[in-house]
Amino acid sequence: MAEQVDARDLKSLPDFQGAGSIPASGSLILNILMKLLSYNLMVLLTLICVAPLNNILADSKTQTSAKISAERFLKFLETGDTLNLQAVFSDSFLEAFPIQNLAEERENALQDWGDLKRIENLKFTSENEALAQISIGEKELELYFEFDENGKINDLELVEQSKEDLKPKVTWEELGKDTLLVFKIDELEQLRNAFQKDKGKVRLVSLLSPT
Amino acid sequence: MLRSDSKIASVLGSLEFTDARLSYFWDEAKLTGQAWGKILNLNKPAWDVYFVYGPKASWKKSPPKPNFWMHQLSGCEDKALFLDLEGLEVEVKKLLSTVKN
Repeated sequence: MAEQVDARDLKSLPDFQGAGSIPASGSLILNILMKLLSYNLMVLLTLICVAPLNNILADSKTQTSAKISAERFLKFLETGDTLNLQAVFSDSFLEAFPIQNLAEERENALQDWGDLKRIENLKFTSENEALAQISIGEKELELYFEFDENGKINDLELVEQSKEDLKPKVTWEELGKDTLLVFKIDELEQLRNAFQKDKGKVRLVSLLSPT
Repeated sequence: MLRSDSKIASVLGSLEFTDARLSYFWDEAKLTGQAWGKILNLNKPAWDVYFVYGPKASWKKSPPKPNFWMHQLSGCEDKALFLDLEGLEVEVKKLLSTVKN
């Protein structure tokens, strides 16, 4: 049977180090304090762990919704089925680009480029961005998704090459590449630079609505 | 200019016609329409317009007035010709003939 040791006897134990100056009653208080402290530490650690866990769960929920949204959109690309498609887009996206227009753009693209051959590799590149590779006719394209905080599609971009090349701050040399498609104008200076670079040539500028 | 305009629409539109000499820009803030609307005294943003510039045209503080332009806008009939592709081509060729090779 194991020998019972009273805390008050600790002082008398020969191998107990460092307790020489603690009276027996102090040792008890220390014990209780240590227990309280460890309990508080435990609560604190639990709180610290729970807080990021909440964030992770929220992120994961958003990404799950985003994945569902993207997959639903890809299904639309594949089949043309617009049923429940509205639910996968944010309000601001739908305001700018109603489902009807999206369906028309799809039809036009298929008519102009050929059949949709392949959709693959839906891949998240950040918490709220993903991309998928699609192949239409002879064109190999990348479809970029941007999602809002509810995992709904907030923006779409269809490009023939890496998005890195479509950054708005570009040099004229980069503008000259025929592989680049569309540059976003943040300030007129960018267009001015392009215009001035071709001074000495005849230039045609047209301002058009893309739709 | 239309509610349906978007970045993706501009990308899709740009794929219809590609050329090494051609650059497409997506102007979400309508900066170009406002700038050209002002210099052409349109009292509204310019869009659905086609400007031809000769080799000497230079953009200093604001876009220069075009040598020639056509439009498909209502309310601009007195300011320029309605778009006619053959007419536009003639004007472009006239300017091209002034450029030394």
